[in-house]
Amino acid sequence: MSELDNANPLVFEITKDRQILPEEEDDSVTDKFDRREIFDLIRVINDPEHPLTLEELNVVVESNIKVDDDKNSVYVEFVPTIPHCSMATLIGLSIRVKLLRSLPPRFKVDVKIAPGTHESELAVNKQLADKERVAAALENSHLLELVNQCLSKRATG
Amino acid sequence: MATSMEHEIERYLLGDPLEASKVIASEINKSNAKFISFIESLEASLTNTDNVTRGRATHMIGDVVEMLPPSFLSQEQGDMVTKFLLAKLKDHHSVQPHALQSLAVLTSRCSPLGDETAKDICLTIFREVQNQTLSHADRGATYRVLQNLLGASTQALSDLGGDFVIGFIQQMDAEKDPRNLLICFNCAQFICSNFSLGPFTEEMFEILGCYFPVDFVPPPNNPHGITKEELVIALRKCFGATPQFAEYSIPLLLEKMTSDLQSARLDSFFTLAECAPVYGMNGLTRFLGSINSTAKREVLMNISSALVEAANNAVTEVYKAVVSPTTQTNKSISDVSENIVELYQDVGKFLEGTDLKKSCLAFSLCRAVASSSTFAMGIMLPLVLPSLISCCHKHTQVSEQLAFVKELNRFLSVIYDHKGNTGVLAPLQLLMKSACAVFEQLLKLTSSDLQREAIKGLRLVSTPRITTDEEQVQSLLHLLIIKSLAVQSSDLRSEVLSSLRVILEEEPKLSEQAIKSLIEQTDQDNFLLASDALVYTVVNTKSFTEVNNFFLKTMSENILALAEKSGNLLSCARAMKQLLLQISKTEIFAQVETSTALPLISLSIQASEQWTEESSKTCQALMSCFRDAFSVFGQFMAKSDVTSFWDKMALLFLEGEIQNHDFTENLKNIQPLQSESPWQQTRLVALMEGLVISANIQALVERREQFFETAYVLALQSQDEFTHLSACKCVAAIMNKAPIGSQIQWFLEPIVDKLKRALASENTLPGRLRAVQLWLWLTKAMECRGHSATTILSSHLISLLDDPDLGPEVGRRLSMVVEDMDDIFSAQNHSIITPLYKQRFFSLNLKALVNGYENAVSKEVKQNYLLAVSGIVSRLPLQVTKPHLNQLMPLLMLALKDSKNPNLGAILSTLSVAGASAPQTVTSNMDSLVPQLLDLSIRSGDMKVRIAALECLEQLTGLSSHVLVPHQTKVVRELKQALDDKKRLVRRQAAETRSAWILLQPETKS
Repeated sequence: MSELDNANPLVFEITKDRQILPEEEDDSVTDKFDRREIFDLIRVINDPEHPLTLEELNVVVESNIKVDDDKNSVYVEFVPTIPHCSMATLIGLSIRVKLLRSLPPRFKVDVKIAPGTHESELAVNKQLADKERVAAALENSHLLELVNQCLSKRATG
Repeated sequence: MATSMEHEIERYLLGDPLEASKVIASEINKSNAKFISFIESLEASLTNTDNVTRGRATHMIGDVVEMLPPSFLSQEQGDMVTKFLLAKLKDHHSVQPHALQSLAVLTSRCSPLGDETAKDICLTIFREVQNQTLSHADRGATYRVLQNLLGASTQALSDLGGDFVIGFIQQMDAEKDPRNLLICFNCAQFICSNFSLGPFTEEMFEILGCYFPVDFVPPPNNPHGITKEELVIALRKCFGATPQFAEYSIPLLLEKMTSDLQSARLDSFFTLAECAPVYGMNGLTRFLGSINSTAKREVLMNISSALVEAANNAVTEVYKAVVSPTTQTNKSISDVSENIVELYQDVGKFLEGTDLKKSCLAFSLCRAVASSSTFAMGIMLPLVLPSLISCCHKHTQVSEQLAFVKELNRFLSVIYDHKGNTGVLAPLQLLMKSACAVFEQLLKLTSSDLQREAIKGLRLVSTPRITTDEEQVQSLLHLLIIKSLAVQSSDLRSEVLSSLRVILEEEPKLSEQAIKSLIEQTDQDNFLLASDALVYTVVNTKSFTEVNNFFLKTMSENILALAEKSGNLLSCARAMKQLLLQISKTEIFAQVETSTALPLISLSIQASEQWTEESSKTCQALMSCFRDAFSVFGQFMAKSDVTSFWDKMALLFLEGEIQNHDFTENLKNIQPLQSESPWQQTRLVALMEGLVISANIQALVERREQFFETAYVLALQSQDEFTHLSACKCVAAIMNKAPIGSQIQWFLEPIVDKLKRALASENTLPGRLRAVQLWLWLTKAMECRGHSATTILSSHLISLLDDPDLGPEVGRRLSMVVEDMDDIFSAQNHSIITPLYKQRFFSLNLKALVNGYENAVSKEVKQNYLLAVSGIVSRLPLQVTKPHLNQLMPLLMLALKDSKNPNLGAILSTLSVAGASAPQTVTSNMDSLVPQLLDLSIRSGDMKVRIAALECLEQLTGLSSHVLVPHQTKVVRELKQALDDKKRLVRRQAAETRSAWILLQPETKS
């Protein structure tokens, strides 16, 4: 990468670990999937450009996630750091793959760019929504490696 | 004799110098007079026409003298030989080096030489020796001669004055060899700091300055052991040898500070920092401006943190030196203050905070100046702090705010170092007020990092000796108190509370106010937090009495009204325990028996009349709290106090003796140690337990045996579980601590007999189970002290695993023998603990356990053995079990199949660790392990087990990939089910485990 799209991004504070409630430790209670749970899954994804997580760059925020456990749907909006960010598709793909791997198959996952935050919003959204294209992208070993890098645990965690 | 001397001289000249000089030296050593004859015998060779022979003969003098003991030669002999050697310096040029070497030996071996001789040596060397034309070893000889003379005849050389200085400079000129340079630097530093350099100061500096900065890379393997650091330090000492160098060295250093080489810049700053105290105000003042600007340049460039730190440190040292208290004149002081203001104006535009990095660096430079002296702080802080405070206000992004607040706190710690100095602090009061405003505002924000910094800041500011306004301190204290009740996150809260404590310790009289307002707060809903905070306000006897009485009063009120409000009772009891722990090492603790211990006893007796079946749980919790409090008494009270306290307690518990004690209330008679008494009374044994497990056994004298017997019976017979357990612990603690010897037999034999009878199958099952429990505790106590009798106990215990009724209980509980029980058996509690007793127990009993499993008659009995083995293995560190892991693995795998095994979680975590440290054993069991883990992580009924199984699976991904790949598809597929677990915590671990298995890296083919 010769030049970074956004060389000096603003870094945001990360949220504290979720507090474990007593009912979460009670084996008889069923915990529904909620917004924070989805957020916890995707906030640790690494940014392709910087040694920072998507949460630290404010690309994903909890309020931009919608979950309906009963209707089996998850909807995630993300905000690229700058409107012409060339990494938007890769970030979207990473979020999608992470959720595919971490959620039970019953969920329908939608990942979109938040309206009005990217120049080629429509095109990227279309790519991300197209199941076949996502599957094809993951066949590409180079692309898969990039995605896996975003999803791997950071060494200096 | 003379002939042999000549013979040896011949041998020397012909080529065996070492042996020959040894023989001669030992000859001379026998009698001093022989030295003359040695010189006489040398005559022929010394006057030989051949230059080589003359040279070697000259050298021989040195070699022989070197082997004589120090100061063997008299001063006259030394002077005489010196004179001769000096004459040799004028001889043929090939003889000269030999004469120098001999002189070097002579000057070190014959000290002191006469003053005139010393001068003569120097002058002759300066006149005759062209040092630059000699080899490095011979140059070294010259320096050694001078070094020796500097040490031995300082005064004589000093009399030579300028002649010596210039002579040395000429000799040292153009020296390149690091070995010689070390000697030269050493000499130069001595000359500069002891001799008057006269008109040659500049020359002297030139000859040294040309080596700065030292750039030396030792040859491979560094045969001479000289490092760059040695040279750097030696040269730095030269620079700082005399204040006269200031005018020459500072320009040089300033020039090097702008060099392209980072190492040169670093060295320059270090050198300046070290020399500044020597150069002092006179040397430094006129360079202040340039030093300011170079340091500023370096700091703002921010190449590396080491450089920034070095530059800041140099600035601090320089300003410290220019404001030394002895040499203050109005003129110079005003110069300094002008320079400080100038520096501030220079960096002023960075202080506005538009560029975070640059601002922080600029602030750090200002802080370096401010921390140098009170005077500098007085000028710098009023200039800088307003901009810093406005930066804190202006920024809204958390990371920026955090950086500025941290910077602000660093400035406040500079102020903190001057606490009590009201003259300096008075003008700063207004600024500190506005700093407080910043902190108060930050406390309202959500970010916990910001809040933490704000609390730290408040602690610095509200120290009474810094903020002089008492009202303000009180309002800050009030703020902290309010905050302590509002903060939920525990680490932030402990920060608040410790700040509260630090402030009150500085100014104990404020604690009264703090306690009062906290007690007011307890009336509202936040009793728990307020009582917790009260503990931190105790800083002296007065505050202790106040808080202690408040706790006692609250507890007694709560007990009387047990039905309505029992919640506060427990939090109060816990706070009480905390309080006791906190004061345990202070002198307040001496009065604790009357102030706390006895009231607690009467409180418990009062309470025993109040407990009902509904409040049984509360009773347990309260008694456990009190037990912990009593173990604090046992641990920290003085031994004599423990003895008298024990006497009272024993009398009360064994005889029901109440009247003679200092109890205030009229209490009913009680019999807590009789198993027929109601549980409300028998649970009081927990108080005894607290004291017995913690106190030194030597302090419990009166009625110890009687208590032991009674507790033993209580443990066997009491039907109340809590009482039974508590009594067991009493018995175990006494067993563990009882003095070694006949007494332990006296204890043990009847006990074992009685217990065996109680275990016999004709008794009722609950009674037998109680006996098993007591047996287990006894085993634990004896294993702990490593007593020889312990094998009887443990082997019988293992044989009980075969018992159909008692086996399951023993299997479940056996692992307690290898468990850590720091609340009962620990050095702090005066227990006897043999090192490695767990390992011993494991290795002695492993065989019995494994054999027992193999020979077991029924499935149920096998299960008991599996329980016992899995419990023990999962509680021992892996290093202990590793050698046996191959043998144990099959048993553990079987244990995993039993879904009722309470040790499942522990076994799984043992296996996780084993995956990392004993991969071979785990690898060979992969085929059975992976399906078992998958099964547990999906179908186990206990969420903790599911999580542990998933964690174990994740740990396995650390094994080498050829083991993992065959299982990868299956694991990834099956874990899909775990992703939809009903518990969130399980799902979280499942997602991580699955992702770890998906991301498995095939081994690199390179």
